[in-house]
Amino acid sequence: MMKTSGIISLIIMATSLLVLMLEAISNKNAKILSEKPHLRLLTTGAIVFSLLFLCYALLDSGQFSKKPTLYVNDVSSIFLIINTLTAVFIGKKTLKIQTGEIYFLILASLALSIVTVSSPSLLIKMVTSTSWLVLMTTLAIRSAQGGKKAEIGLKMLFFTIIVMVIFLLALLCLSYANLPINLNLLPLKTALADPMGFCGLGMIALLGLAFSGAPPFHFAHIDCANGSNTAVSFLFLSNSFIQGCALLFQIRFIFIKSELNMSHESSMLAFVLILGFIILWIRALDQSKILRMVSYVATSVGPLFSLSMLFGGSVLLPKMIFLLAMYSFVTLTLLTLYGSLAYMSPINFIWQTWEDLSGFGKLNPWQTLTFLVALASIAGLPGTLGYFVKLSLIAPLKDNLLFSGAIFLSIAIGAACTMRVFVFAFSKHASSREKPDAIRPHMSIVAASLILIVLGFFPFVR
Amino acid sequence: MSYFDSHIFHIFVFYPLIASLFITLIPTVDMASKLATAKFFSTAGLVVFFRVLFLYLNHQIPAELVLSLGSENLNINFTLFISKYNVFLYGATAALLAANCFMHEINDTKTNIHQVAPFLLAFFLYVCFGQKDLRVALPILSIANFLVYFMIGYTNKIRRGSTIFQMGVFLFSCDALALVLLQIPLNQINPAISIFFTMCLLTPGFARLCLPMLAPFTKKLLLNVDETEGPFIVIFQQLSGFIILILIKNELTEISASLLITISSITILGALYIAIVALLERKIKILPYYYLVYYSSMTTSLLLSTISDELWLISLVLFLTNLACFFFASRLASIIDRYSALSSNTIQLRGLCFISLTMFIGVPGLGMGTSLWTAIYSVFAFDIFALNVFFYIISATWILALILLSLAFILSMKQEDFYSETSTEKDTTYPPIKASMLSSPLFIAIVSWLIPLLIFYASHKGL
Repeated sequence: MMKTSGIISLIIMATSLLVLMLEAISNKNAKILSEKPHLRLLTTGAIVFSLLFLCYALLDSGQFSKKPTLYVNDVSSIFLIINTLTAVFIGKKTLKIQTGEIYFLILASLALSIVTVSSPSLLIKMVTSTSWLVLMTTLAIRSAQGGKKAEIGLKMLFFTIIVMVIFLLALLCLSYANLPINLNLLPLKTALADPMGFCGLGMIALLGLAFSGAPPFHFAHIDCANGSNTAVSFLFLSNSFIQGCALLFQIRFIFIKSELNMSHESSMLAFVLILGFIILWIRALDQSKILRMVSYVATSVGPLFSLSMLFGGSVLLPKMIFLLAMYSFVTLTLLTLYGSLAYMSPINFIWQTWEDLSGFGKLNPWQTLTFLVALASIAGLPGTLGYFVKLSLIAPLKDNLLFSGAIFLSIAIGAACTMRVFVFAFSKHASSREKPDAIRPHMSIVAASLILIVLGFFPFVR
Repeated sequence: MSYFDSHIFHIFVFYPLIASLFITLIPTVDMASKLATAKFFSTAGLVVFFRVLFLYLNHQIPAELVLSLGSENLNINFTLFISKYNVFLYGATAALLAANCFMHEINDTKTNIHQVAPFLLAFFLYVCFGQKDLRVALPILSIANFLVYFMIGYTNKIRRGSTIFQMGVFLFSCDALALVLLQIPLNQINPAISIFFTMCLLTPGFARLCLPMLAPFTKKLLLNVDETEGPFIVIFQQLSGFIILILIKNELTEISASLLITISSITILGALYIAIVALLERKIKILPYYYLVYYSSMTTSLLLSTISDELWLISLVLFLTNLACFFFASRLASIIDRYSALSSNTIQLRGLCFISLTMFIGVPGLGMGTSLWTAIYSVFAFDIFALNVFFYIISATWILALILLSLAFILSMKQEDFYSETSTEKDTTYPPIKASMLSSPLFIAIVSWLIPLLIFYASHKGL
């Protein structure tokens, strides 16, 4: 059933992509989606149909509620589609160029990212993930403002090359050890016992860390999130985190299945992720530019998400619900953060500093409120969904007080960051006498922020 | 049991939420309707509370209220309990809400959020009072503080920004630390660090009770809250702190001698510090806050002096009387402040101010004196501290701090311009001082008798 649904959705998406590509090539500057309703219908229909079909197939499988970890790739595909739709929704408000070419790039990136997370073959993963990065680079450059284009392009291409080189090294190591490049066919004990095989898997873990945005292994996340358009930033970060987590999850799965004692390696992975997470928050604290700070905060969602997926757990929640909650956390927090930012147009420029935010909350309370809720949730302040996501790590990692201390530290730094925004937005007087922006954020953004708060009241982690 | 009585606890817990909805729906320009709605709901809430108390004392109310939602895979239960530990805290909050509505003119508030904030905060308190697990209550109290920060941020005080920042970061960090530590099973804790562990758990409670040693933001908070909203905000924090301490105390299996000494030292040093600061500053407007912190410290010390419930009722009586006297004195101070800016009735104003602060100095049978001496008697009667040298030092220091505070009060009253805004020019348009204002000290004196009488009556009924 899963394979049939995958093939059907693939055919529909490929058809819509092909049509969109042909239209985009033939008429480069036309706003084909707004001018040609049949194309809009085909594209949206293909995506929604794929989404529904995937959801149905997943629920119909019967095993999903019992062994949800076996279906991580399918859940990832579903959330990749949701995130792409969300990016299109944000883009309608923020993207200045809304030509067919842009939408083609967005949909092509979706197709590539789905193939990346679904395919067990390392060769296909290499081709699709590097192609995905090239597409994202194009999107980021096309949507960026002013002098940021060159910087973003340089960093993104560097990231692409690094990814390709690491993939090649991983392939080389596995080939040297006479191991298959298909992760599903890997003889687990042999692969981990062989130094070259272990090295190859280590390279894949490194790629997972890079896609998850964990410093020092991330190369372009901050600059892309800082310089490019809000919708593109959302798309790049959310889908990159999911791809990174999928890679790390596969490695962790191999560790567990091999039945070898890999606790040190697992702890090392957790340590790198948590360290990266704290570094991102510390860096966020010392930023003077608003968008730069937001970029660091948004990037910190990646390591937290990967940590929770790999090591988190809840006694009170079924594994399936927990898994869905973690994916929803990424989508909801980034949607609230970037969605509210899309409606904060007066400060939505890369050069704006904290002083420019003075009194903004008094003039635009709704935008600022949703923005603060997103920050608080990512920081993990008690009473938000993010807090439970962080708390879900403590029980599984209870042997090590260092992890508990690190989680506490990240919340404390996050509190400082959130309160700084709060003070500037609500406590200071407005620096300019501009009229209040009357546009309230979209209901979906308000609803997302409400969910982040309401779920924080239900203690599903103990 | 009637249908109304079977659902009375639901009604009582959710009425602040319904009130805030109604107040929000009324157009902003119609301030009189907003005020009338607020008064109606707060009075109705108080009446419902008395019914809840009556039913509870007669064991005619279910001890827990379960809100459940879920499906095959997921079932979420949200339970609210009513017990001897929280029933009077519910009453205190309902009374506070009513007093706040009747003693505060709602038409000078700034936004709709300011108008509904007391009701929302009361709702958060009701939900937290009904919990038995700190892991459920603390996140709610933590996020509710955003409303408090919003209210402080809207004032015109110079240091409101740094107040919010310091308070916010400190409280969020304390809460996070306590919640992270609560995830670690107690049997994994090394006995050598168990005092440190327990103190970390208690810190969110101590910080909200404004104990100066564990709440570095106290001074800024007291100086930078609005005169009209400040008392409510401070009492909200006090009630939150008290319930946190109760929940933690109920989880502890014993209070060791070293923990007792640590807590006693922290509370007494804080009280002494407050007394010295009051003596040096001699600001009459802030004195009620200092007295509040002093008696809160004493309450904390009493509450955590023993694991058994011997001093529980005494500390509750002391705490609630303290809150009543504080609310009265601080509100009267802001009203007097307004009158003194307009008129030259300084003798009457001085008289009122003197009487309101007299409630705090512990005159037997008047204001705090009704509870203070009962508390002192109980400590001796129960022989909690085994009457050793440590106990005598602690007692002497408490009395010394009270004497210093009273000295600060007398010296502040002696100053000519105890209100800086007092106008020397006679203004003929000032409103006359109302008779109700003059008789209010009598009212609060009666309330300070009623609180212990009601609580002790309830304890005789088997509370």
